[in-house]
Amino acid sequence: MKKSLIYIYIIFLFASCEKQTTWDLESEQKNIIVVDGMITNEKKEHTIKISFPVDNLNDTAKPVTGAAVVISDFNSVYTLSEQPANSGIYKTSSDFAGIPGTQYTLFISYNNIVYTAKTRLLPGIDFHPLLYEMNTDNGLFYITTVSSNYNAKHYAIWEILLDWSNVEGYQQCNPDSCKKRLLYYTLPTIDVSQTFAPSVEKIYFPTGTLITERRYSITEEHAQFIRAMLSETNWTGGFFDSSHSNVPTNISNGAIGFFSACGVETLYLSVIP
Amino acid sequence: MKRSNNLLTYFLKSPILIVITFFAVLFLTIENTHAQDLNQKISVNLKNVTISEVMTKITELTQINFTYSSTQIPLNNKVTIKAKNKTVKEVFEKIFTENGIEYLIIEKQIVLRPLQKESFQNTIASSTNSKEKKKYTISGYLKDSKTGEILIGATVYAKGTIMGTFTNGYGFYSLTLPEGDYDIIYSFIGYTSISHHIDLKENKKISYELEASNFEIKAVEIVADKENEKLVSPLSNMKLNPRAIRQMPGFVGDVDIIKSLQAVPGIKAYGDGSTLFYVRGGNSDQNLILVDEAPIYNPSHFFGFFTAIAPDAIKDVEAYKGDFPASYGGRLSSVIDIKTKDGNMKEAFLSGSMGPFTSNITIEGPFKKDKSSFFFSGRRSNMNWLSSLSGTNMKIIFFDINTKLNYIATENDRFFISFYVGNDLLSRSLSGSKNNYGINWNNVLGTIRWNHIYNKKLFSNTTIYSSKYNYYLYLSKEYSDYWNSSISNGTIKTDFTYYANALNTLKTGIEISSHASNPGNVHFTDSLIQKSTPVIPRYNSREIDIYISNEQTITDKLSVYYGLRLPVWRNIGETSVYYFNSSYEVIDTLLVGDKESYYTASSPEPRINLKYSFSKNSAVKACYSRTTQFIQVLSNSISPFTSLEVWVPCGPNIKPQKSDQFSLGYAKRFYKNNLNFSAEAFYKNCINQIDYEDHANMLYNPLIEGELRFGKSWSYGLELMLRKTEGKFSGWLGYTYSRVFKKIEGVNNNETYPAFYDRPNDITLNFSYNTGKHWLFSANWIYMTGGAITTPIGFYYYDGYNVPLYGDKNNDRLPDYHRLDLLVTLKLNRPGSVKKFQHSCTFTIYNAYARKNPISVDFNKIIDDNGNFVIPSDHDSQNEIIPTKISVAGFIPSISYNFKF
Repeated sequence: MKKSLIYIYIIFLFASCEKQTTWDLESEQKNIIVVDGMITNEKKEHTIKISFPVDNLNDTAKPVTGAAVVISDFNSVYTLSEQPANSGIYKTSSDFAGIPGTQYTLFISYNNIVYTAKTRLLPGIDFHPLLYEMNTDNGLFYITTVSSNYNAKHYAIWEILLDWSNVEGYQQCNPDSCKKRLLYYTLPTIDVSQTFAPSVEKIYFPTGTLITERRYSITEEHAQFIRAMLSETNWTGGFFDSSHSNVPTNISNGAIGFFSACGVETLYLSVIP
Repeated sequence: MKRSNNLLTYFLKSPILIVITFFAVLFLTIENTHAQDLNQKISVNLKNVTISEVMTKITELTQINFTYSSTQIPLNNKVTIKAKNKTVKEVFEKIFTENGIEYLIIEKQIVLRPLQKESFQNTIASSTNSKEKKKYTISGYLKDSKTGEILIGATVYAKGTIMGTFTNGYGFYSLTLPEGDYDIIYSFIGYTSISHHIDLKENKKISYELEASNFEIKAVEIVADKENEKLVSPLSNMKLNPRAIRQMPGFVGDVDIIKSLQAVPGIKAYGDGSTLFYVRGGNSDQNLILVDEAPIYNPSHFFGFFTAIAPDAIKDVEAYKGDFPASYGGRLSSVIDIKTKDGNMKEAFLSGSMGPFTSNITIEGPFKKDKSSFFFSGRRSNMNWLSSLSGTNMKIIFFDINTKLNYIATENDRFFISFYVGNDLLSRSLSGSKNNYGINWNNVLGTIRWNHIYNKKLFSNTTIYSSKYNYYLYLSKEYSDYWNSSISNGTIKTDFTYYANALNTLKTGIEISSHASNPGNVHFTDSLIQKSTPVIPRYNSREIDIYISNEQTITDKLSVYYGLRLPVWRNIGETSVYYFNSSYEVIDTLLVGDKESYYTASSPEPRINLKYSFSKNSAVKACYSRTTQFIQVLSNSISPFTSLEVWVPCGPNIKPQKSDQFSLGYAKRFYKNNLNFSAEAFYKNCINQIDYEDHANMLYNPLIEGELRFGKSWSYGLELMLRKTEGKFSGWLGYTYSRVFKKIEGVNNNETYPAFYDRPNDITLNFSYNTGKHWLFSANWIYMTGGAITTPIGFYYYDGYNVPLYGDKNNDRLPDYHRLDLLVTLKLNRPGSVKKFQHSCTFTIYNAYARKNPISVDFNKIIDDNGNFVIPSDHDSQNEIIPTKISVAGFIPSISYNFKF
């Protein structure tokens, strides 16, 4: 589907052109914090990243350090510690695991302001593994199908981890260049800008690549946040853009970002010809 | 030197300065050439002297010379004149007009001749006092002499009087005059005028066939006739004939009615390859496009690169921007009334054209000469060679078909049946499979009309029409999983025109419509998925509109049009209606039974315009009109291309949109009536305007009405136009300054913001040079301020995404838009050839200097290994994001071959 629509693009815009440009943006003082945090039902260290916005593209975000961060499920309170120090990354203990069906509240205290966010952890759901195909031009593989983009009831984030750092012929490469993290989504909405989204960077991987496929169950509010974020990032720059506006949040007191809790199911695959 | 160069550069870069200078120079040269002498003040004190002596004195004082025939002018009449510091014009009125002498300014000379026309007072008296003189009516049709096509908007008037009329949309006219001798003038733009002398002693039926004036093509013509002063009109409505449109460069060689209209001041284009347009601050769905009276909901092919109505089928186009007659309603901003050809009543013709992107063929002819005829025009895309270039097995197909039958049953009855279908399909076939993916939309329109002349003064037209628009987005390869939206309507209407007398034309009518719309539902073949998908309620509505209007001539200088339209709208079941609280959460659901009424709205719409003519060559016009719109497109798209559209009616959650528009216009002719200048200022206030919640879910949402936000918009502007319509060299220069703002509750923190189609400065320049033999050269240049866009004031990082952070809505602007299109037509027949076989070649260049006009600027892409701009996939890598701008339609040359035999 996607591929075909990209072809439509090529033909439809037979004289179109995209060029790099420079653009002077109005920058405004943004005294707000950005929260990027997710907890799951996996037993591990979970992280909440807190940072400040940046004025320009590719600027490095300044971390929000020294905040007090706790997560509560009404029965217990879990305190997160900033690790490493002054990184703006706050971690739970390694034995923390969310419980499906439980409502979690995030509290962040910073500069005498308390920011809160509530979310419910939905249970994980079993799924079919993704599909991939070989590209005959280079003999490498690429992902063709992960899941349907649309489902009216069950929404999800699909995280795909690819690792071919141990595949013969790639062991000498920088390990980071042989690892990729891709995200796909199943949402309860259909959007024109999604259907006609711009081309996405193609990731190819060799035989023997290890694939970790994770499905995160997400709430409707989380799905709405993702849809809005995609509208402002991956889906913008096509030929059917919708009007731009700020992405919603579930954090109180003017903070931005999102705090989520997800039930996760995982599959492991190895790429075979 | 450097400074002067800088000034020159600044001047050339400033289109406003150029326009102001142009108009200033024009006024200083043309206006003063003719008027300077008459406005100078003189003092004369002469008692009981001849007119000849007065003229000598005036020549002494002013250097003004007179030309006259001494046998016709009573030079020896004695006059007394005492004028102190009076204008020459006032002196002339005193000595000439009072002595039955008319003066004309021709080539800087004052030409004297006997006053020919009856005084207006006599005219009024004779036309209104039936006891003094009996009145009789001349009525009939005006047609093209070669094709038998009726002529719409042709002028019929009695020479030397103020009494005249136009042919209506069916070529019919009726003119009532007092008994007497008249020279009746029949004229129409692009045709040779006819003068017919009658001794009016009884009612007469006179139909004429006017002869088209050769290959000469005249430019866009405002509804005006230079020979009749009361018809001078400012810019509120525009009339385009197909010959005029044909000389304007279209996209890739295709003549394009919508894009031609976009070159008219006050009608703003979106940009390259788009049929979307915005009239005087109105949204694009506030334009009503009628094809033989039936509305067409999506007039585009191939996302908007082509207009869906084939140019060969068009007979007449009239565009109303503000001065809406009461017979039109349903949209706030404009009415584009397109009439298609009836079919040649004299002989059969085959014509067509072939080009790299489209081909079309037209067949027309009589079933029975001067009694009945047919018309068929079909156009199809030839664009699959593009898919070969791209190496895919994509299909790009669009076509449209116009057919029409017309039959003159009796002297008083005529029937028309017309049908239009337009279809677009963009799909990809998988090898070895019948499966396709793709998009499909289509418009289907059908109209049956009956013209009936009850008597010499009463004309009626009864129309039954139906229109349907369907949009499919195929989601799955089986072609049976799709998203579909649609809108349809069926209407019966009757209009009566009563030509009461020479000074009053009354119109009235009633229209009854049924509307149905599907705001978008998904169909899946998998019954399990289908079960879990929500059903979006459909809408059904009924509408009744009645109107009455009168066009009245009050004095020889003042005329008035006044009318009232009363639409009544009603929504009926079966449907579900959701009610929302102030937080836009559903608080109640009403299940409405079949045919059960649940919402009614009505809004009287007064329309009035006053026109005052200062002279034969200048007039001022003031208009007020209220319009109401009950049905609208819900879309938060800012794309220039028509995409998935959701039409919904007003209802408990959506109040009818209303607009009040005031305009004041001035028109003047110069230079032997060959140059026309018009200026019009307008102010428009609209209420119940729609905008959307941030990231509103518009495509597949049962609660779509909860995504809407309401408020007001207002726009104002000044439109200037200077045009030359006669001769080998014709064209126009138009300039518009206008603004449009919105204030919507819940959007932009409730603060005012400019609409995304707010483009303050707009210049259009159109020139044509017709050698009269083989060649026609034409150029069209458009300039617009860049559209308003929302750009980030910063960014933040979330899970590997660079998420933009916004401040005010539409806080920024795209670069200014400008483009030059060129057209050369080579007529391949010998000059003056009377052969039936006529052929020509048309060469066009769209965007001749390859200006990259961006439609968007984005901050979300990287460059991949192949040098393409793509969205990054790896969320763990540190990508350098690059700002990019996208433009469509670069330099596009095209050639097409046209033939007719």
